[in-house]
Amino acid sequence: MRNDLIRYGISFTIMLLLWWLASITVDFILSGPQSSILPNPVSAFSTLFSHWGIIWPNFVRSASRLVISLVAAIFVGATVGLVVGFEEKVSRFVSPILYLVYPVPKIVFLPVILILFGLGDLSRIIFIFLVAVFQVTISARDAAKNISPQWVKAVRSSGGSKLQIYRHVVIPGTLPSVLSSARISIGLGIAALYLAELSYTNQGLGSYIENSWKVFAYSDVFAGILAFATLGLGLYLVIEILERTLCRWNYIDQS
Amino acid sequence: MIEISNLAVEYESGETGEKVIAGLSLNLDRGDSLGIIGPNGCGKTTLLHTIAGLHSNYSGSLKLNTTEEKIALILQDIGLLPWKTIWKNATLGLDLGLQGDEGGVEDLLRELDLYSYKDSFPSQLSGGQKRKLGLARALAVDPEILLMDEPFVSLDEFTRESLQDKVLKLWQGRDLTMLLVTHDIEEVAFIGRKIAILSQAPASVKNYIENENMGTIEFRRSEEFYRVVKRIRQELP
Repeated sequence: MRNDLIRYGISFTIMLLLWWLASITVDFILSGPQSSILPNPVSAFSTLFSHWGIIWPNFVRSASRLVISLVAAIFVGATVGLVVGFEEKVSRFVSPILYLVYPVPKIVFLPVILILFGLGDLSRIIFIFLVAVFQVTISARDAAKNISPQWVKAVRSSGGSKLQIYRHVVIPGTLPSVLSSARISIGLGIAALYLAELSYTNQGLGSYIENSWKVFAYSDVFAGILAFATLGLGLYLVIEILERTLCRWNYIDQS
Repeated sequence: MIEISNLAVEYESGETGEKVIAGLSLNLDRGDSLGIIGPNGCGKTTLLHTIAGLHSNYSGSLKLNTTEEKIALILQDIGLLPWKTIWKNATLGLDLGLQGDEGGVEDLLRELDLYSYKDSFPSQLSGGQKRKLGLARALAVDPEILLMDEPFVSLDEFTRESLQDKVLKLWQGRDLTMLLVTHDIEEVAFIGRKIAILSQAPASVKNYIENENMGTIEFRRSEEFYRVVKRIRQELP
C-alpha cells in the first residue's frame, strides 16, 4: 500500500512536469489571448480550489449521473452477458443482436432518447447506460463462455442445481472480467457524460467546462478537467478495492 | 451395490448416434473395490460420469442401491474452484446441501496434511496436494460410492504411491464402494480387488481378474502383485 502511494506520487509528478512543459511551449508559440489556452498546473489547481464552491455542486451532479448509469450498466450487462455466455441456446438468439447493436455509436440515439425521455437527467443516464452496457455484456459473455466444464461438473456431480452453478462457478469465475470491463466503462462513461452535459443543462462538470470555454476562462476549463479526472480516479479506486476483496484468489502471487 | 447390465452410452456431442459404451455389464458388492483399466479413449470416463448421474442419455440398466447424494466423483482434472479457499473447496458438497459434518472434513484435511493450508487457494498447492484435496472433497460428504477418474495421474512415483496408500487406508476405515478408472497397470493392481479390463471403444468388459490379496501396503512388494501386473498386461487389448 505504501509502495502504491509512492508510485502514484511519482507518476503524478511526472505528469505535472510534462503538463508544465507543454504549457510553457504553447505560451511561447502562440501569442495574444490564445497563449493562455493551456494554463499551467498551478493556475489550474488554484482555480480548482478557489472556485471549489461552484465546482463542487457540478461535481456531485456529474458524479451521481455517472454512478447511477454505470451501476445499472454493470448490473444489467453482467447479468445478460453471463446468461448469454453460459446458456448456448440463449446465445444463439441474443449474440447476433449484440453484434448488431454494439458497433453503432450510441450518440446517434441521443435525439431519440431526448424526445422519448425529456431533457432531464433520465435521458442523460439512459445515454451513458447505453454507451457502457454493451461492452460489459460482451466481456461477461466471453468470460462465461470460457468457464471450464470441469468446474461445472464438480458442482453438478455434487448435486448442484442450475442456480448453484451460477452462484458457485459462473459468477465468481467471471467476476475478474466483469470488474475489468467495469474499469473500461468508467472511461467510456465519463466521455459520454461530457457529451450528455453539453446541452440542455446548466449543471454538471461538462456544462461547467463548456461555459468556461465560451468566456475564455481557460484555467476554469482545466479546473473542470481536473475535477473529471478526480471523479475517474475515485471510481477506479472503488473498482480496485472491490477487485482486491472479491477476487483475492487472483492476487495470490502479489501478496 | 452396483449392477450394470447391457449399458450403452452415446457420445455427448455426437450427432451420428455413435456409441462410446456398448453392451457393458458389471457387478460390484458393497464395500468392494473395482479397478477399471482399458485403452485410451475407450469410454472409461464416460462410464464413471454415467454412474455419477452426469449423463442421462443411456440405455440398459444401471442399478445403484444408494441415492445420488451418496455417490462422489473425483474428476480427472479434479475441478477445484480457484476462487474458493482449500476449506471452501473441501466443503463444497456441504455448501450445496449434501450431508456431512464439518468436523469430519477437518479430520480428513488433517489426515491428508492439508489442514494448515485451509485458508490458502488451490493455486498455492502442489500437484499432489491438489489431488489430495480432490479426495477430501469427495469423502467430505461421506459417500457410499466413490468414483475416481485417473486420480493420481501426472504425479511423481513417490507421491503417487503415498496417495494410493492413503486411499487404501481411507477405504478400509469406512463402508465405501470404490471404482477406480486408470490406465496405470500397477495402480489398478494395487487398488482393485476386482479388476475389469475394457475393450477398445465402444467399451465393454473384456475380462475380470480377481485380486483377493490386495489391501495391504506390503502387497506392492509381493510376488503376487507382479503376477497380477503381468496378467493384466497379457489381457489388455
